[in-house]
Amino acid sequence: MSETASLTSPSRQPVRRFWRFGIGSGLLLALVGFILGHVIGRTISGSWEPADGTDQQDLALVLGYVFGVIGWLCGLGFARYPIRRLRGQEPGLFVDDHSEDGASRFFRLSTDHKVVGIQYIVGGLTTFLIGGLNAMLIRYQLLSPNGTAWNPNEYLTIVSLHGSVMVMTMSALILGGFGNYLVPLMIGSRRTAFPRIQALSFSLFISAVLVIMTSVFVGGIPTGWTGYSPLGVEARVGMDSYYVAFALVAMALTLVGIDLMVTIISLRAPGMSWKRLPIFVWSVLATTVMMALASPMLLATGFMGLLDRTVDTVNFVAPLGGSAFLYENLFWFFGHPEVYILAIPGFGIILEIIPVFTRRALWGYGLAVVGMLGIAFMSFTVWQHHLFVSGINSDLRPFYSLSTELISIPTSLIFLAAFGTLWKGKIRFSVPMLFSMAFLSNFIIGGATGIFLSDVPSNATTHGSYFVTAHFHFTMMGGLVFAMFAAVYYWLPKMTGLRFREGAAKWHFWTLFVAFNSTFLPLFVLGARGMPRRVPTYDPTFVFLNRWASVSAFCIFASMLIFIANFVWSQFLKRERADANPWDSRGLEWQVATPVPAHNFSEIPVVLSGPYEYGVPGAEPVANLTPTGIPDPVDEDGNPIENPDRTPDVLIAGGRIFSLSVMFFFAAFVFAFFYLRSINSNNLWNKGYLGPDQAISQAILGSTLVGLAFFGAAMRRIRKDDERGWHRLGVVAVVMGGATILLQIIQLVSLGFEPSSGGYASVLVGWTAAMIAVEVGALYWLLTLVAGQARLRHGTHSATLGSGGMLSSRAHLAASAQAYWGLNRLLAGVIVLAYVLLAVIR
Amino acid sequence: MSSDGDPDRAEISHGRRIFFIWLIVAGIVTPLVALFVTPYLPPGDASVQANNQQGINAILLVLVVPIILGCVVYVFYSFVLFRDRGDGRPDSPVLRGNRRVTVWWIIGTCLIVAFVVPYGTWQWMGPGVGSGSAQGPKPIATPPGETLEVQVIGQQWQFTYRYPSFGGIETQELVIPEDQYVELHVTSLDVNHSFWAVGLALKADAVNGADNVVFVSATRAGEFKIRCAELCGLWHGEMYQNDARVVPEAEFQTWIQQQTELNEGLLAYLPPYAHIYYPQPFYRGD
Amino acid sequence: MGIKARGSLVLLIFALLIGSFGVYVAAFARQRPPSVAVMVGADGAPTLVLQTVGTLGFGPKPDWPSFLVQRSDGSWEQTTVFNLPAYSTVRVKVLEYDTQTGLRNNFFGQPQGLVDDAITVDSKTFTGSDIVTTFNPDLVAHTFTVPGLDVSVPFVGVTNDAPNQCSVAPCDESNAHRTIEFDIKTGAPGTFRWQCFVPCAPGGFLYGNGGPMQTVGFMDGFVNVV
Repeated sequence: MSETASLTSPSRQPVRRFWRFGIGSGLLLALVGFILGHVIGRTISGSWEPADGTDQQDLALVLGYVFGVIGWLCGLGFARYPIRRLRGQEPGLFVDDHSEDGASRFFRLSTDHKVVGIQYIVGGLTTFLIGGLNAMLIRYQLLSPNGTAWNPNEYLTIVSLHGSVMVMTMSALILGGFGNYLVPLMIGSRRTAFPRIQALSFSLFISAVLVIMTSVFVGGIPTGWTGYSPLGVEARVGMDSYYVAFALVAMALTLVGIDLMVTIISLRAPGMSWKRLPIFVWSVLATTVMMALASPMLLATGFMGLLDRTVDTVNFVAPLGGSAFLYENLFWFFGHPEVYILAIPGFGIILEIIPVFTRRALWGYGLAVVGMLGIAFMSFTVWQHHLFVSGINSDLRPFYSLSTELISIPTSLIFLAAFGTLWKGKIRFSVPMLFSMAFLSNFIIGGATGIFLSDVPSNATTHGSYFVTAHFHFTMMGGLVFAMFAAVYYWLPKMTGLRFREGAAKWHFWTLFVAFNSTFLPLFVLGARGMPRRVPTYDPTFVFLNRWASVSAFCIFASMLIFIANFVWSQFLKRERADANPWDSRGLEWQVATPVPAHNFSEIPVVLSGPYEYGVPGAEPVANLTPTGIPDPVDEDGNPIENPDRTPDVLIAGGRIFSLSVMFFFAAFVFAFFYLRSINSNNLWNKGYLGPDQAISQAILGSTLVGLAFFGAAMRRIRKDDERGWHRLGVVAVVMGGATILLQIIQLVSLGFEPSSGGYASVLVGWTAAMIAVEVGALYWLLTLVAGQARLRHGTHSATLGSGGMLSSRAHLAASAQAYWGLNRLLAGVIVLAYVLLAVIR
Repeated sequence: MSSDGDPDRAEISHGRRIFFIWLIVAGIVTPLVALFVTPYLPPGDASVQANNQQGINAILLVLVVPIILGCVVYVFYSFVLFRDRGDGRPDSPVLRGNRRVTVWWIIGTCLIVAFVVPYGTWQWMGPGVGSGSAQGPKPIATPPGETLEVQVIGQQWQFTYRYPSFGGIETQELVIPEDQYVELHVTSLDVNHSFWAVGLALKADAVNGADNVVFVSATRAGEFKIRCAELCGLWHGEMYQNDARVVPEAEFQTWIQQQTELNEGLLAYLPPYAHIYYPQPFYRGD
Repeated sequence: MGIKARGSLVLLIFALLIGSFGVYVAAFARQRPPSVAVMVGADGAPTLVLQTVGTLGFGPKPDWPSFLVQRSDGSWEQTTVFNLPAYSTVRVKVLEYDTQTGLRNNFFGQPQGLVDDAITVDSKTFTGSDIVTTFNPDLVAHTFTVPGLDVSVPFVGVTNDAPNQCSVAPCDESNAHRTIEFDIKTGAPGTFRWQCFVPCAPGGFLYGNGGPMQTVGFMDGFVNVV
């Protein structure tokens, strides 16, 4: 593979080679990885033919999935970056894919945010179709009270898949798709903060959907999308695919969150003040707060669930020292911000669209921003409203009822902004506007029914019934899905440069709106009258409403067929060119040519005014796209050189947010420690054994602190720009880091007691394993710093700013080291806390 | 607000018009809803708790209907009157915000929250005695006087019931006396279930290792349905009973007597009555 | 690419999508366990003959316990869906080859809803809850519980040290077994689910309730009253 040809030659032609990294090689290596993982799993557990449902089988399958995903990522070409970094080299790009026009760039790793955005949108729409087809199967079963379409087990798997795939899709689709594509354009940047990471998040998302769909071959998922334990621990091996898939999605969401948050904070064009930021970008920012901080909790929850299933820890098993409530609390701590992740981007999209079609500045812009940020931060305080009847401490319920109701206040501010923009406007009813209006109608029904659910007595009528199902379908589907279609119809002409057929689009809208309301309004009645959720059969008195809902659901599918036909016809077959700015919008993304040029802007624009200044006399254009008139210089690959170089800011901001995410990840284990200890279920918190070997614990603590001290000293050298000592100190830090990991592995392997012996053992095993995993990642980071610095010192590395990577200069290395230093201190803090809790307090 | 003369007057009339239209529409619909819908709201009035929930549902409904109508009226009015009629002027008058509207809006939403939350809380802590929503092992809202303790045991995939004051006998059907406070302790032997007595409006999750208490006082004799409201595996949808009943006290005593006789041989093999059970096996074969 | 080529590509992709969706649905809608009509016994009474085994010994799940039903020609079918005639009294004979496991809830150790409240185990008849004194609930291997018909019958298991235990279905009467007989009454037609309440799932399933305990065709099924 002669990558050097593309690095040094000025030619734009991709080098022809025998092996091309892409989706084909990804699938191939995924298969190889899956088999390899199975083999490793069976070897570790010592059994070649385990009986169905044994831990050996779980372990083999989980390792198969993990290695399969690693193989998938390697096959797509993600391995190149770490390998080259570890050698201190610039990774470069395979080909200069920014200038490649073919459709094949959508099927491999791409660092162009527009390509990743379209991958997300098309991939997301496809998984949306899969989820929707599952919904049709559900409604088909529910046509009759004693439906015999599917076996009960299979029905439950269909229900779980519908819920899981839809939640995964909609969490990733808007921010991954529209966020990645539009945010850089809207803020005047050429890239998101971490292009490779955003490509990685897409591949993780796809692998998650593939993993969960394979569950049908291994026994299915009986728990619904919430995966409640202990049913989750009891279930057959298909449940492993659920936990693995959600762990992957959690990683993808965290990465998307960090990437977009840093983009918005650090990469805004000159003149793009916070007051001029488009409201969609504000919504992305609010959403990324929740993505970056809540998703790690899901990762920890899935991790604990997998440990319970494979190595018999008892985190969620009450008779052995765990607690089902631990799962419920951990899951919903993620779960509630998750549903706001599914709501806020919808708000952002429609508030972005409404001003364009009322030709008016966004009314109450500040209110909308406060509303979104308010929702984002308050969403972390409400999760126990899912647990009102579950047997939690009764004293807490008034607080959670209050906090849940309080969220309705910032939410109402969004509505106020939307309504205010309509006031005396010049409303044009284009298709995106129709969808936005339908969003308002649906969301208000969803939100109003939320009042019933947040009120404790009323909650007793409606919890666990179809009322809840109808409520969240109105907010998530009636909200976000409608906003998604609004966004598709609004922005696709910019992304692909092709027009939709307006007539078909209006048919799609009206059939969808009518069918949607017709499907889900009866479900409120059904739920309140006594039909529980997730049931394949029901009381015969509910036949009429169920049949009505099922037929309407088939109509929803029919409307989606109209959309698919329109989409395929206009994007693939007929392909009529769209104007550069068909909606006459002032947004910055509409001021560039269609289709968007490879590097967005020939030079970074200077922003002159906000994007909503419709009708303002004497308003300046939104930006000056040619402030100096001279296009930016390009490097040897044809990529424009950033000036000023903001990569150090990006690295530091990214590092800070990543450290926060890691902190929330470990917070789950700290919570588990205190929770299980206080419950002391069946008196099995730490019955029958002492704490871990004190000597090993103290050694771990010691090596951590020594490594911290050495890297701290290295940081002082780095800040003084002194290269000599920092290399040596860095190496020692690497050694101590490796020693810590080794000692923790030894601690796990040489435990004097079974993981199933109680809550303490389970928390110890889970926390240590999690620490090892994170520390390996941190060690990799440190090694890249040391290697990069070594190469710099020896002068085998160009010190100029290049497009290939982050660490192409001393400034970048210093910034990365600064970011790493934050993570290092956090990890040291976690280890100290682990020592105090696990070895001292117990 | 715009500072011109004529548009200013026009603007006031829009606002007033919308307000009056809303007043009329809400003034018609809301009383209709209050009079003709709320008496039939679930969960009915077969128990004190159901009554309580129905009352709160009614109040919330009557609160929510005018709010939704207000939004509907406003939006439809805008669609009709604020359309782009192609009159040549491309953009709308510039309005960025209105302090008065904002302040009243926020005050209004705060007032709604300030009413709904304390009212709901007062209801379940006071007259509702929990309002049918389970309160965990240490209930705050307890009924005065004596209660009949009945345990609900959820297991995959049937509910069984134990009566500790009658020797701890276990039955397959739930029969409770009317007009008397019954203290239901809900627990599970395996995974999470949820005991939902639809007619009596009780909902309590059954979690292994936890004791979930809910109080009920049934107001009249009759049958009620029981459903499982938490996905618990294969037969979750079939984990129901349609023959649970509330009976007069005398009939209840007869029934208990009958059950005790039926249970005689078995009683020795049932575990002693406790609020939480951890029956073996935890894992099977390996 | 010309429009014709693009059009055929679109059609091809749609065919693939519809095809894979069809495969997916087919995988779900695969055959339920076949239903077996109840046999007619020597005296004309409808008779259902079942056997329960600890390990199937064949098929995709060889180490799972299961129920089997005898067809009218005497052969055994691995299925848990039975057809019973409506409004009749059905005799049920069970050959119980599995060892004792013990109930999770001993309440199910006594029979419910049987005709005359009688159950015969190895030629000894018990009425009411007398059976639990002879065969305490820890000796139960499986139950046959049909909540819709208010029927619940514990199947007493073979002792752990019994000689000549069966490990491959279908078992014959030379293996250690218990013979359990009882009568049940059916009413109006309908489909009723039944399950076993003894948590006997092997392989490390939590609470013993996973795997075969949650799979129709093994420890769960349907009674079709026709």
